[in-house]
Amino acid sequence: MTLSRRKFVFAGLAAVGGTVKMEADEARIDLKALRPNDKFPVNAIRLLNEKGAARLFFSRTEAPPPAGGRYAAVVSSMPVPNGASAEDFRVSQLLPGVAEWDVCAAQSGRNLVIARFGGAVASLNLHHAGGQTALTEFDSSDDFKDPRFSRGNHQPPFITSVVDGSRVDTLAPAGGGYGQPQTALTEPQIDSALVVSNSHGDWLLFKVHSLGPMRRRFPGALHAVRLGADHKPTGAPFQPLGDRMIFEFDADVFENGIAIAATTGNGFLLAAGELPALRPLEYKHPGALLQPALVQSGDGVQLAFLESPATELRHVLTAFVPAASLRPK
Amino acid sequence: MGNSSTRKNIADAADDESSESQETTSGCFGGKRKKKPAATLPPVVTPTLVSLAVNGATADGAGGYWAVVNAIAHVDVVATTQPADDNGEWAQIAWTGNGITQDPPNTRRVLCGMARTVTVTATLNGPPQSVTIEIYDLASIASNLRINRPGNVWKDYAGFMPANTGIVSATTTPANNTVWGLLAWPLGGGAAGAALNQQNYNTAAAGDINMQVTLGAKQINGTLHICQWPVLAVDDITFSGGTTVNNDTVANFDNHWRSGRAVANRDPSPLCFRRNRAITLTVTLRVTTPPTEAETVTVRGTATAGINNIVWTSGPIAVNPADATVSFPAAVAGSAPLPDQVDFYNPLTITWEMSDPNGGWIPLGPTEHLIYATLGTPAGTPAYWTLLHYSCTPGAASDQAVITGAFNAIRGRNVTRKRDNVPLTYWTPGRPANDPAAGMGNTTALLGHATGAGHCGSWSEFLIDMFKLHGVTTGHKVNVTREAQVAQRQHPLPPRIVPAATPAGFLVATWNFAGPATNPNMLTHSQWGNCTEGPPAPGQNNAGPPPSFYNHFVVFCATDNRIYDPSYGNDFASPAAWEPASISGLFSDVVPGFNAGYSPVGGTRLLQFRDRVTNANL
Repeated sequence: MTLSRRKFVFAGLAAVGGTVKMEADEARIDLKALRPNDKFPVNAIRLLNEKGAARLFFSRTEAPPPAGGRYAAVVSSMPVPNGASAEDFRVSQLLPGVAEWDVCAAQSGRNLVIARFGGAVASLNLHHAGGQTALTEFDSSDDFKDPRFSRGNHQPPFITSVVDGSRVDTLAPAGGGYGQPQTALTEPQIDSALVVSNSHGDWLLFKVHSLGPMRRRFPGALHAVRLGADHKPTGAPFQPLGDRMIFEFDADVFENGIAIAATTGNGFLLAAGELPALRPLEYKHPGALLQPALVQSGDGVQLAFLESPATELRHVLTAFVPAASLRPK
Repeated sequence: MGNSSTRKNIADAADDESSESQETTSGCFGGKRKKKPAATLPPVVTPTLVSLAVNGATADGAGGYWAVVNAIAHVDVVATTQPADDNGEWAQIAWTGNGITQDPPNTRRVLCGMARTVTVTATLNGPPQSVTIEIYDLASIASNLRINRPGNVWKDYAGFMPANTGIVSATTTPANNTVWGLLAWPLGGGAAGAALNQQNYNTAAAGDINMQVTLGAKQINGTLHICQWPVLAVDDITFSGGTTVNNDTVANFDNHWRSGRAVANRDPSPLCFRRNRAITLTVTLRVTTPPTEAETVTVRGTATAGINNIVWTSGPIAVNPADATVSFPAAVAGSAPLPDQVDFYNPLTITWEMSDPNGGWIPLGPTEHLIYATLGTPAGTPAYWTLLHYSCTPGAASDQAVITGAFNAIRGRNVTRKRDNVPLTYWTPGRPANDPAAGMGNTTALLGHATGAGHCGSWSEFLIDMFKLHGVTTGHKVNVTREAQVAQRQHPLPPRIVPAATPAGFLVATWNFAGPATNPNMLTHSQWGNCTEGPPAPGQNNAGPPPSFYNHFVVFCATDNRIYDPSYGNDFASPAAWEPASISGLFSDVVPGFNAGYSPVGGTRLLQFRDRVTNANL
């Protein structure tokens, strides 16, 4: 990764060597492909800070054997930027589909929360060192999607999930597991949500989509609201990125504030600072990026994106952005 | 020449009679000449009139003369006498003539201030001699052009006059062919008209024709101001009063028709109006040929929608020579509403016309519009194009007709997305591992994703939203699940109850069981062992969707109490009818062992149908 603070022009895409050059209005970030010479099957990624180092988790869905059987969501991980990958979770999946999941560090290994597709609706399962636990009723009429572990202060983290595309439920740690889902927020057309907990409180970030060309998700505006101890909003939601249209986002604690990465129609944006005032920097990219992942790591944040080719074989593009370049000037 | 010839004739006539005139005239001077002997006195010559000459008039070739009022102040008739041709002789001339004056003595003056006929007769010791002078007048000109302006300017429009002919008629005094035959039309071209006092001008092209008519020295000029009537073309139609159609999540259509826009797929914008409501529109027109002067036109469109003829008529539209476009002064509602039924007008053709200067209408060509007429006011969902297209059943006039028609439209399981004709599928054919359908749980997602794949949730909402577009809100999403616990055969151990938290689901037709599977409470077979997948139940654009589910969405319609399963294109009288037709048995995630069983042939209800609107079981 190289980063220079200057005005520059579009540098073009150099995917052959695994390096993707970016353009921005102020800074330049070179996204580099993990395993530059080896695209691998991956359709979802997350970043996790483990013991101060960033680790990339990635998943693919395996087809059942020809004789019949179940699909499997296989979640693996590897250090960033280099290291060997290892399979962490293999989750039986009744139906085909790109698994929706998140990982967190646990006292014993790692936990995985995953949406289990049922056909009409999905339920939540927690996979942990001791096995798996159903977090929601499998025969519920509620459709739990986009499960996320909260980022930041809470250990163990609590879980958020977008339900029926119109509300955000939280599942708080309880008794070594998790309690029943509680509705934190109801808002039409929510497609993703995440809680980031910093010294100022628990911030629920959620995206309200609108209509327009879809890039895995519809475009929409990011909203934020502070949650109280009961996980209910304590005020009116606001838009930390203004009216900017994003497709997907990820966020983490950054210093005393928050850092957000989001994919846009032209590339991606980064924003850091203390809510509600953030200063987004937009970066152009010649191809579509999917599923931004961001985690605080060392003196900065680690970024990762999925390329968006037509096939499942693709590169994961990463970059480390020093804290100095994120702090508001 | 005429004057000379005339003068000569008159003189000849006088010569022939000279001897007799001399004798007669001599007596008149006898008193003065008596002192001389007759033999020595010169012969007494009686003065006679030699001739009458006419100055200032034109000989008409028939012995008469003519002049034109005010073209000359007067015409003089001058007498020549003999022998002396002097004042003495002239004084003896007896003159007659209407309104003549003397100046000088041998001359009689005919003033030309007004049209008339004057015969001047002079008599001097002989037969009288006469000349007739016609004082003609070219009084005015007139035209058949319809707009008369001061200064002999007439305006009309190129191409809009009978036979493209402008006629100018001269008014003379007297009004007869004799005078008219003297008219000349030296300027402006043209051709002889039907009457001698008429001249025809070609008015096919715009422009000024500066014409002139003369009668002798008198002339009258005029201008035929042939103007261009504006030529317009429909450029943009903006519709209002309906529901904006959404292009299947990409963007709203703009409710415009624009010239030159592609007809395929997106354009012109599909439109949606409630049945029995008027369509309101306003039009912008391109001025393809500007008028010569500011003109005012009216534009109207006519269409036939079912049994209704609809007319949209603009207010007065001013068209100025410099205008590139002009618009209706205000939006106008159609003269009649859409017929009182659901329909799909493909297309509704509006024939456009603009007024012409003759009170007629000039065709501006047709425009075509895709118009959907809904039963009621759309509610609760964007008016996605695909939803409209499949739910607007022509002729439907009731909730039930809309429901039946909408479902019948998708019963064939070959729904395609209107914006790009991509087949909308129930899951993705081939069951790819990364099937995006799993994440598409509503109509918006189904229509939005590039592949057009969705699961039962999106298809159920798709059908419900088809109803909602017509204001029909009796479609309820119903979640189908297996809640009752089942036992699992533990051969050779006794059966055990499957833990409640263990997911259980149902096998979608068809699965084949080896050996009897008749116990609804016992899993007796092994999935993919002695319970094998048979021919799949085809879904929307997918011959082989997944064969087993934990849950499934169908639609309960409170209007007719039927169960609709849009994913598979089937409908049923009740949940009890849905089960045996749709599933082959049950399964559980419990492993290892027997995890499948029971083929629901005996009518036992296995599944729960939870109405998500009422939260009650069906």
